[in-house]
Amino acid sequence: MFMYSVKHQRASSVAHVCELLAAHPDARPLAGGQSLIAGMKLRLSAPSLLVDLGGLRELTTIQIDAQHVTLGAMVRHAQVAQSEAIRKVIPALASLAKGIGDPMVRNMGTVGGSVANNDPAADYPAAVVALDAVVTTTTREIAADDFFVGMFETALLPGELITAVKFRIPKRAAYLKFKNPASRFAMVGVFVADFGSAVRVAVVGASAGVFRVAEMERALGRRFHAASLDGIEVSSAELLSDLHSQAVYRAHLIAVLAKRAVQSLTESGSKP
Amino acid sequence: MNDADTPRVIATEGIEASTVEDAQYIGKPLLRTEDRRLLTGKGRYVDDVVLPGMAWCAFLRSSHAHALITRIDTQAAREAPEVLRVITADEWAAADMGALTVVHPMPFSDGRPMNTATRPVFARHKVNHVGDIIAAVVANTREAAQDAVELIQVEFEELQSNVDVAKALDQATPLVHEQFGSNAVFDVRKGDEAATRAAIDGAHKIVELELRSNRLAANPIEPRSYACSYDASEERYTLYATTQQPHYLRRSLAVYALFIPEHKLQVIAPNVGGSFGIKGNFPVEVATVVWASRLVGRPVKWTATRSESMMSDTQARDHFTKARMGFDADGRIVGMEVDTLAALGGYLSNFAPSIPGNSYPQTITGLYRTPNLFFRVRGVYTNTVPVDAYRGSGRPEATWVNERLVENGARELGIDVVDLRKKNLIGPQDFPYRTLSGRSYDSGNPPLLLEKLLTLSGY
Amino acid sequence: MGIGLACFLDKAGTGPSANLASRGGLHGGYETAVIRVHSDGKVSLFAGTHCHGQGHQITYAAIAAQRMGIDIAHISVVEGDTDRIPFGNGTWGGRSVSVAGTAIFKAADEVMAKTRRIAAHVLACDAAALLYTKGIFSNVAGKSISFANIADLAYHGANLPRDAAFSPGLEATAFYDPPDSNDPQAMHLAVVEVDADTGVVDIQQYFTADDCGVLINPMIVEGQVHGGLAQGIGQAMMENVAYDAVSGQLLTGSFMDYAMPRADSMPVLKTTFIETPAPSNPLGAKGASESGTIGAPAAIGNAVVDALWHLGVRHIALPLTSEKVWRAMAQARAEASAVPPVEMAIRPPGPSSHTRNGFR
Repeated sequence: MFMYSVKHQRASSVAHVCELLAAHPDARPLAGGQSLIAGMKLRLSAPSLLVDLGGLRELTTIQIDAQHVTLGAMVRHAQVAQSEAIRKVIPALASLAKGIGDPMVRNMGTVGGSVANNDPAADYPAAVVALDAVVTTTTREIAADDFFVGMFETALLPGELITAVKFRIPKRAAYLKFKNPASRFAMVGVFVADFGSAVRVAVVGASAGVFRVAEMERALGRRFHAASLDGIEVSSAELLSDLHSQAVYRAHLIAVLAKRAVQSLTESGSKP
Repeated sequence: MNDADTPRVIATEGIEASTVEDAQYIGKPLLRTEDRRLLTGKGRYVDDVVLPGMAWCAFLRSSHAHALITRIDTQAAREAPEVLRVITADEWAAADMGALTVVHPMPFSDGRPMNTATRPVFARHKVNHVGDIIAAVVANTREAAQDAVELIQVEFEELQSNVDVAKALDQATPLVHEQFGSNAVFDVRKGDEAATRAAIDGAHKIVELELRSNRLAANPIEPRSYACSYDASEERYTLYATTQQPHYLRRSLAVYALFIPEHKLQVIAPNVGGSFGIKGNFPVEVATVVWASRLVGRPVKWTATRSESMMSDTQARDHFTKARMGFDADGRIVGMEVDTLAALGGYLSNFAPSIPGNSYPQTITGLYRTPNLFFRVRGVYTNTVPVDAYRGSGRPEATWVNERLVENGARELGIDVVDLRKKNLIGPQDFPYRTLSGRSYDSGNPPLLLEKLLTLSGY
Repeated sequence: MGIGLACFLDKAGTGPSANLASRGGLHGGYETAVIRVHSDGKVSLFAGTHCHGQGHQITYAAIAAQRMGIDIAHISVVEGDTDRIPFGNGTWGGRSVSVAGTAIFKAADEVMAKTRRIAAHVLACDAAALLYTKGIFSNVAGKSISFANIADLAYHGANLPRDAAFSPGLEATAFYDPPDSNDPQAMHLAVVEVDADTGVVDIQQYFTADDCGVLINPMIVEGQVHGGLAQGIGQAMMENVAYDAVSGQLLTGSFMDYAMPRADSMPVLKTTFIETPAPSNPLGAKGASESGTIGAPAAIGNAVVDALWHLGVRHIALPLTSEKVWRAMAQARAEASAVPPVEMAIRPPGPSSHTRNGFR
């Protein structure tokens, strides 16, 4: 299949992006293109204009302070995967990025694109939710728990662009992903983040979108140990069943991966 | 020649031919001559072929598994920019074109010829699997051809479909080809049914299993591609084709499909990027490309996309088997009984019937002495992409059945899995070994082979 | 952990045309080779098969070069052009070396017979008295002439044996119909580890022993075994074309859903060979291309059954997805404790895993 004809324009600034999006209702912003271009090649989407964000250097910075790691929306997965600085403070984030796709995908794919797309099997939404992140857009700041609203749907309004994602640095965290054998997307991905005062557990791949597991968070909050998760099951009622996996199995994997994620943090004594 | 009892050291590290002295090349691991060229991007594949004035072909394929075509309207497509021609089954029939051929037919066990519905160049009146070709568009560019395909309007009356091989012969299952009154393509039986039943029924241990062989898609890295140019002054076609069988492709096209003199069609197969059996001589899209090159008076090319390949390349395996094997108290096989349904898809393709009908039974008893065998295989139609050859063709299916039975037999008898095999393996003195499936095995030394494997693995 | 064996037979080298015809086959089983010596002594070799990754160039050249006693670098192999090659039945079913290889062998012999006659004529001796080494013919008196010079003479046409039946030129065409197909055999041993929590099967080691007759090029044959194993492992572990049971829609329409093995799916492969010559061709070669696909599903399936047998698992379906294995374990455990598992009612789509079932 081949794309329908489309126009392409490189934006010179974030303001320019907003102008172009406002002027062309059928335009789409192009970040890394790893989902959008693929969809266009299958003729599943047909924007009239691609507004290319590739030249916006102001969106490619990584900032780290005592409490947060802030990724510009156009930071590529490869940058995060290879960042020694991120590895020092949130190694789980670096390894999550490292596990996305393959080297070519990682060189192009961006955190902003992944978060805005909200593919139910993408990895980043788990990090955004588990690390209690704040999504900064051209108009406001949106808390992680308010950002992801449905399958491929976010709180973003038409024309609103993500500019940065600010992750809280946890005491310790781990992300484990059970890969779909064909696509290697997350069949189930579990991100466990221990902030000391509370624990956050976010799951992707298993449902219409990322969700937290409150029972696991409470149990781990009381005692951060794999044994605390014994007997805690996620109901398969809301989980996906598809060609690759039934809901029951996904529910089982969530429990297994959560335990293994906690074990990786408690057993070795150092971060994964 | 080597004496099999004194196996020589097999060297497999590649060497340059120039380092070999005295023209003693056989048995040496000589490096291939084409690798440097292929690995540095200098390979020449059909999609690399660009002919002057070349036009592109794109196909409209069915999105239904089983449906009547009640109306086709190609007007909008014909009028679309850059479109040169739109072809459907009607044009093919009106031009008195031929048909594609199944080169390996299989009969019913009572001698009746098989129920033949060969894969057509264009589906006529009815589609029988997702991907079934309904029309072709030839246009100046690949994008224009693809866009025009989307302008063809087709009305369908959907029918119930069956994609499960196990259900193909059930009473309630819809027929793929009503004219046969059945979904059976052929029915092949081998062996003595009564004697085998008796032997197994009376055996010390019986193992019964239901087994499926999962359906596969070959997915060679190079999709299928064909480019043909027609020289009107010489009435001669030059076809570049991804094919494993250039002469047979030529014959199929010339003699059976297009009715042109064989010597007026040249088939050139350049580098082929893997095939594994699917790029054979069955010209389902090729016939259209060749014919179109004459119709439009310009070279025409078609290259499959990967998603198109998934619904048009022939697929493989897809068996449902009920089998049982009887063993005596010492673990010797006393009999084997196999009943297989083999899916052939919505239509028959090139070799297809002979894969379950001939290749599969010939290897079903493997390397084990099997004094009684009753074997039945029925090829069946299902509303799926046609099945055809794929590396292994029938033998993986056979080995899956044979070996699962033998393995479970050993375990249930409490006999070591290796020992049970040793007990049943035919030996070098047994060759040529005539089996009940009809095949005579030419030469071999299975016990030595097993010993070598066990030594290699440190078992 | 589990260990699985598979012992099996392949059938290759199709095959006698009469056999095919007796089954209603619409094509022959012979193969065609043309060996054309050029006037400078170099050789073009045309074959009716078509290489699509099997290394015919070097393999055919090796057969011809050894049979003709000339330098392999002087031989060019041509396939894949119906204008240049008289006819052919193509490459499939492991037939190229046994059938086309033998056609080459025969064409080479015919060319060399003519070459020897010219040499004997030029060197004024009996053909039987000729010595031939490194491309040079000589007589007992020490007079010699090279293969290349003979070719030159053949195309000049003048200094040739005075025999009305003897003509200029130096080439031979062989249409060779084999008397039989052949039966390669192989045995595989797979070592797997099953993750008890997730059902993931990891193939830790994989061993093969093949008997495909005389190996013309052991490196290429090993490559064929490995390539076949990748596809066999694909069938065993992950590949499955799936259609929707109700609508008939193709569910695995792309690589997002159809799982192909990648490099990291492959275990270390250890291969070995024995060579029991094929009786039906002078090379003693059998087909060597498909064994990997034939044994891997059985060996790996048997290994997983081995790993899970103690839990009560008696059979498993392919492909061995982690969910399927997990369900087999869970079901076996539940049956063992005679407690019906609540959520097992949901069957996965596609091939179902079975224990035993009634036969008739």
